[in-house]
Amino acid sequence: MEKLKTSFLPTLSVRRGAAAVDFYKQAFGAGVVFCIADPEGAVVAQLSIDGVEFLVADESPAHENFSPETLGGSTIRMGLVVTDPDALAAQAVAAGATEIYPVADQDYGYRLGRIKDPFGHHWEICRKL
Amino acid sequence: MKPKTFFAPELIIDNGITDVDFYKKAFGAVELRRFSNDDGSIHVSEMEIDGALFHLHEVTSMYNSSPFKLAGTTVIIGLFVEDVDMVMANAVEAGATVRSPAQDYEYGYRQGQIVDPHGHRWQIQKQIPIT
Repeated sequence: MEKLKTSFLPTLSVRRGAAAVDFYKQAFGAGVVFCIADPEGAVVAQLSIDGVEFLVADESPAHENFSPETLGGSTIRMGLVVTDPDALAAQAVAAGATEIYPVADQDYGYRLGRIKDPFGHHWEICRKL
Repeated sequence: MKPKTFFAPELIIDNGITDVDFYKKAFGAVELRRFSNDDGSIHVSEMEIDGALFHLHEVTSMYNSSPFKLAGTTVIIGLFVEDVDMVMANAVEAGATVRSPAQDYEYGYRQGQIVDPHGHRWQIQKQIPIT
């Protein structure tokens, strides 16, 4: 039997989940693996960026799932290693993300820039140098 | 060669942390390199679990903060592993708290959730046949 590869599947809590799904499609070219909405419109969606999957879910403070807007900050930054960080960061900014600092060669061995998406999550778009 | 797209989550931890052995004991993580402050506490630690890269970064900016400072987390880190029960047991032994014990779910996952000593939530999981 082939050994299962260890990998991450992050779940991002947001407000306005349906709008977040649209944003990630535009910003990162994400495809929708599935998207489930409850009668109130709260969504859980699994998205895929170039085969790398993550979940986006409307926050549920009752279950201690908090959006960055609710907490006033975020506790994990989404490092995303890609072929062309300049192009992807530019695409995300065009889709409505805010640049925290531009993509540049960093002395720790990455070409990396940071953006904040409209839902409060920070992404470090990078590739190894 | 085309570098494969992948996530390398960066977990924000409190200032003054020197011991991140939890991740080694719980998940078999290997520390690849570390940037320390003058007092020996961690600025950044680069780690990998069986090839899956992640970073620990101390609180430094107004934009991001630790689970303890914010009293909550904004991301749950799903981690696919071979043996959910073994990883859960190792994590608890290493100091994690169980949030929900490992069990099979009808949507085709065996999952359990823990909170690590730095306040981050991990969902330990593997795919199983849908029954």
